[in-house]
Amino acid sequence: MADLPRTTAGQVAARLARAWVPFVIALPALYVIEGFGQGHGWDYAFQNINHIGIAVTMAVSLNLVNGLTGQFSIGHAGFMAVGGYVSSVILMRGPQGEWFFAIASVIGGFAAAGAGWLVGKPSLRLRGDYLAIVTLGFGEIIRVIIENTNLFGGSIGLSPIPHRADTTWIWGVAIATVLVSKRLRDSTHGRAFLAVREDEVAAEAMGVDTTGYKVRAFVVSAFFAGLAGALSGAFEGNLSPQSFTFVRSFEIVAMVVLGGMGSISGAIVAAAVLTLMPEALRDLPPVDVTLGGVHVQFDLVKSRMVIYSLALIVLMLVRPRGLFGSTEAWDLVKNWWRKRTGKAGADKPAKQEPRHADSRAAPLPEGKALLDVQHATIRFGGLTAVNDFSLRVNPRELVALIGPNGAGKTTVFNLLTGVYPASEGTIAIAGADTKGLKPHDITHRGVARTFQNIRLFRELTVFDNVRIACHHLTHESMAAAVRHGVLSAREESWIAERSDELLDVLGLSHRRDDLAKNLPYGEQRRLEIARALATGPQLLLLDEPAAGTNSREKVELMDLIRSIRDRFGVAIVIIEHDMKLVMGVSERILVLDHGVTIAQGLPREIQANAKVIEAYLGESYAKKHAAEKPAEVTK
Amino acid sequence: MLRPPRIAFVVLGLASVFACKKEAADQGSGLVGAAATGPIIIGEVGSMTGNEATFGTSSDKGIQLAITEANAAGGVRNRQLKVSVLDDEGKPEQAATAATKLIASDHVTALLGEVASTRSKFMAPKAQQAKVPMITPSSTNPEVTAVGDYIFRACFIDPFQGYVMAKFARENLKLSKVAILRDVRNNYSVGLADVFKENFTKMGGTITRDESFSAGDVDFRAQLTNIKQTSPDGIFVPGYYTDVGLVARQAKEAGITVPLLGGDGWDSEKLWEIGGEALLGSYFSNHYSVDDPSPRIQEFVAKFKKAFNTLPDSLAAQAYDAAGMLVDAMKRAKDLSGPSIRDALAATKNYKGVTGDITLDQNRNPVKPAVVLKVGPGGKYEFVTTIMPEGQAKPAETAPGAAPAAANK
Amino acid sequence: MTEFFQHLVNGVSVGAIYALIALGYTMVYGVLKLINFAHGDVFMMGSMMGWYASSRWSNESREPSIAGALIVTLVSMVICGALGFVIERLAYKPLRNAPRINSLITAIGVSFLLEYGGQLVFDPNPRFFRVLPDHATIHLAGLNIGFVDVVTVVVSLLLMFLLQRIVFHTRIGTAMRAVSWNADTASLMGVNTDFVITFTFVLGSVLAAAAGILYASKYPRVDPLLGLMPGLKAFVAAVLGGIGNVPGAMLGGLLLGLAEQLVAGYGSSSWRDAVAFSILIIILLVKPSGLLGSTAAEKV
Repeated sequence: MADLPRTTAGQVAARLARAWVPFVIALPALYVIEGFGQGHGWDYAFQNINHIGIAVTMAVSLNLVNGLTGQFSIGHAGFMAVGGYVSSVILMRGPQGEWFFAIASVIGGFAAAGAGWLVGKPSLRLRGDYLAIVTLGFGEIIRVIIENTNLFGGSIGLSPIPHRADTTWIWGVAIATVLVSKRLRDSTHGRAFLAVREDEVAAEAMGVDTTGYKVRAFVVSAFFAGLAGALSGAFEGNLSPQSFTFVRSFEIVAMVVLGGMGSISGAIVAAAVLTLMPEALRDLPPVDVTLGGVHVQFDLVKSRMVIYSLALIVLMLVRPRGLFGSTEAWDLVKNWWRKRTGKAGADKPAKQEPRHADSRAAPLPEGKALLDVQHATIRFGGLTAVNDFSLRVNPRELVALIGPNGAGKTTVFNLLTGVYPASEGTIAIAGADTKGLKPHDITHRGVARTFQNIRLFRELTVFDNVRIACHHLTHESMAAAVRHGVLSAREESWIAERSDELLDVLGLSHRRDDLAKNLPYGEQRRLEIARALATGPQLLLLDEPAAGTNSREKVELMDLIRSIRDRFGVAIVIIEHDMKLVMGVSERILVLDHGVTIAQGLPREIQANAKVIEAYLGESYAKKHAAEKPAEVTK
Repeated sequence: MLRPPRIAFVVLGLASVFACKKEAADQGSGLVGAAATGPIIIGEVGSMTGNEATFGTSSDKGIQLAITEANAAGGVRNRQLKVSVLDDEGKPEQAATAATKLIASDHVTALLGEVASTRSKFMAPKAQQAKVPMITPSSTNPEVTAVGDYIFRACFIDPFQGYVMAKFARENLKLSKVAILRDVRNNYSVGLADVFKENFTKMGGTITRDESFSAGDVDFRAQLTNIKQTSPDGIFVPGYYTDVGLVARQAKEAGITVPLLGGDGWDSEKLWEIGGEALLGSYFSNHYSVDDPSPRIQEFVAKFKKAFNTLPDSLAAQAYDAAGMLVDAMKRAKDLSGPSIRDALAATKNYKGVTGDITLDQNRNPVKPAVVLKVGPGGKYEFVTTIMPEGQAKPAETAPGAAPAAANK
Repeated sequence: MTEFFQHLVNGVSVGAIYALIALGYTMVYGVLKLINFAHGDVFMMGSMMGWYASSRWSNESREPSIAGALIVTLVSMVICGALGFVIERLAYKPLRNAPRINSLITAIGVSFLLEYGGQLVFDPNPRFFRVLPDHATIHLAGLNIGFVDVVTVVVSLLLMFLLQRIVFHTRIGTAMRAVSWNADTASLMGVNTDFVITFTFVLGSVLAAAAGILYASKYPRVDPLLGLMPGLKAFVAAVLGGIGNVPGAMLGGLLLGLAEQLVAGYGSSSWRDAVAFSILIIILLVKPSGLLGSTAAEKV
């Protein structure tokens, strides 16, 4: 990674300009529009525009957590309250001036982010529904704290807060929130968020620190919610605990969901529509309904919350993925423009030297095995799944792990990759003990795996599946991604290059932009391998790569496995039931039965091992073996 | 990638934003300020739905009755009155938006609302900025009218009612030990409780225990058990009738027999319906007594009962007076512009409302006496005494039965 | 000391109500893995329908009686059961294969629909409703124990045992457990999953109705938003005890009730709700599966 292509000063300047251009254009424009609106009776329109701005900030920031990262937070109003109250308390005591408002707001944002960290750090380990409840509880606790604290004005609320936030401020922050979200989403960090949403186990295996990314998404999201709270206070001149109820949090969730989970543009549109809808319904006159002689006056103003909830239910039933799904409006525009002009994507990366051997793993110390497992044992309750397992793998070695169903083969992989901690024994990678490491740490040390029951990121493209696996090789920080830094651009093109190359090697280039879930079975298995290779491993663990493939594909697979070893210089441990493949490809075989290693040796030794034949392969194999026809031991 | 329905949604979404802007632009090009002909439009903001819908709708009834009466009597300056009511769902931001819409788009002459002080505080800056007079019928927190000189109210402020009950408890009932059970979610309740505590202690009494609950709670037994341990002579429960009824029941179940004391939030038929006999012998301060034989009160109660088939609660009575004060000021004002009505309102003196003779002080808060009522058998509120604002002598004729016969109009 | 025991008595009676509502939550979650946010509002409908039933069949002056209470409860149970059926068929069934977050949102939508629809149809004003004679208070060694409290505790225990019996000793119970374990496999094994899920829903709603009537007997003030807080608290109780676990709901409810009363009694009553939710958060962090729940490790 050290020798990425050099960038010219011009390119740097262009990037920098691109990063700030939206503000340079938008802020003066907003300022002018706002000045024009003053005193023209546009107060009501501006009131709505400002409320939309705050709603956009809230919805887009929550989308980071609920949409992109796939967690479910329903306490977003709580973070808004934290930011609002902290900044307003400071603002009311500090000097006048716009600059001080900016400082106070940012402090409010950080306070909210801090609260987000406190709530998120412990609770994001929990799965979906529980996070929802924790955030809901948090929202209620915040409200009780405000009501019981005199500093925050108690139940009457805090006032008078200086009127600092105007349309320029509110929409400036809204635009910033959108830009930050969009840039994060388009960066390697955004793909890490998506990976967490799609499949946490696979994300970990691809080197993504899932808990870390969940917390990050949560903290960033809380920060912007805090800013929105600060703006809300300084716009209304008041803050009240009544504004930060569960109903408020739910409205924001509704915006994210209606817009489409993960779609930023969807969240923006939904925020606008849901903010305006109650206002629009106000003006509708009562409807007279005559049903079978009974005359009923149906007051739309009074029943608009009913209409609102009905609309939500119906939309969930009719369009479960929200109005936009996960599509972005700007992508549609871009595609349409490309189609019209017939031009290929302008931001296609330039060709660079392929560099597929990259890895963060430390070089192997002299005299150490790549993988050294000593007496590893794991028990689940009373059951010993793997007992006293030992295995040494040297660089570029091809080892097979075989055994009947339930022998504990996949459990061995789970031990090696840190999914389960070993109850006893040690596992060392390149001489270093892996005790206490999480799966993503182990990926960082150069061990990659595929899954027996395919675990691709189903809703993402083939290309993105591979790109995610490059994530841990990047150095770009989240801040750099947001600034559209030069490093991130170089890394992005490097990732694209590397991913394309891997797809090419695995024969998946023609599928590059398809969703992973739409691939046929054999290609899904190959994509798993491509993805594992993208992490830059020294040791590749393949879990039944041949399952469900036909005999022609199996032959191809054998060649592929050998060529991968030669081309990428990796060692491979393979779990497989197909004896032809195992015998054909491996240099050494280890046989497991009921968690116990019953034999190991060269392929022909295993074939001749009476214990294996009797205890595992059975008599039928012995007969067929005599006829030189390897048996398939399958389910 | 390009799917027509999605595009349609995008367009729809954007269109709605622009539609709103356009509408506003159209309105912007029109006349700023109230129209000179046609009906006079008065804006009302209230919680018609949401958690506090019961208060908003009650207040709305009072305003409806007052405006209907004014129109029947020929309106103001030969023009009819029209009330434009906007719901705020009990949400503060919605109250601010509703006020803005009424001022900027409907060009209302004046604003009525909100019931709750919190939401009135969100509305007030908008009214003040646009120089549209605003009267809140029942926001008792002093901060509301402090927002600016266009903000008025038709009710007591918290300090006064707290003082009234402290004085009554100490001087009339001769209580020396009182416990407090306040509603922390409700600034009205907190305000009353604080002032009561301060005054009662100043007058030589002791507060044995200061417990709290949150509006909407249903179980008060833990607090009541604690209060019972301190064996007070009375319990001050400044809350709304929705909660007080349950408090009374549970107090009785817990074996507490001392009287409960409260404020005007108690005033509703529902109080007796929910609390029942557990309330017998309790006292609360109010603006008027339904039993007051004075014709203006009897007439109001009768008309209200006829119109809505229920007895007015204090929120309805205050809203009725707020609307009445506004009509009165519009008649007296030199024209219907905001500043003129404001001046007329500020000069309100001895307006004969159902909640008392209202005179506004320099802070635009009414100065009027309070009555103390006792809950009697069958849920009848018996008049006990009248308590004057601090430092003001008690005029002889405010006692019931001797109320001035002269009606307002 | 009397004070302490009085707090305990109060805690148990509040907890029994939470437990009763939590039973419905836990059943639906156990089978469907859906947090049925609308459960609290079905519970509200239970009270509301009870009010309508009793105001139709009894006049104001008549004293509440046990027989009348039974009839009213029955009517309310039937109506809520039907409501549960309709909600499940129209709002949840079409989403059975959608992501869980969608069902969760729909559930919140249904909850809002019932609350705001209730305000529209029933009027937001609170009303008085009581079907059980409540004036009988038992005085025992200086403690006050309400008659309604005794009834509530007995009924919740009875319902818990009944439910436990249904789940573990009947055909439909076996089917429920099968669906809970793996709906697809259960359906391959010939279990009519749709029927089982609908049955669970209706059963949960019927329980909610019973809880609604008892709740109203204890706190005789009925309004369209009354289900909100008890609903949330009951959910906390269900999680506390281990969601999906019937005795867990009972235990969670009682613990939560006791904790609340003790906090209100010895701490500050205005922090009661904060404490309830803090307990929830702590429990989730220390033992995410709840007190009686069991964790199933995810298969990789």
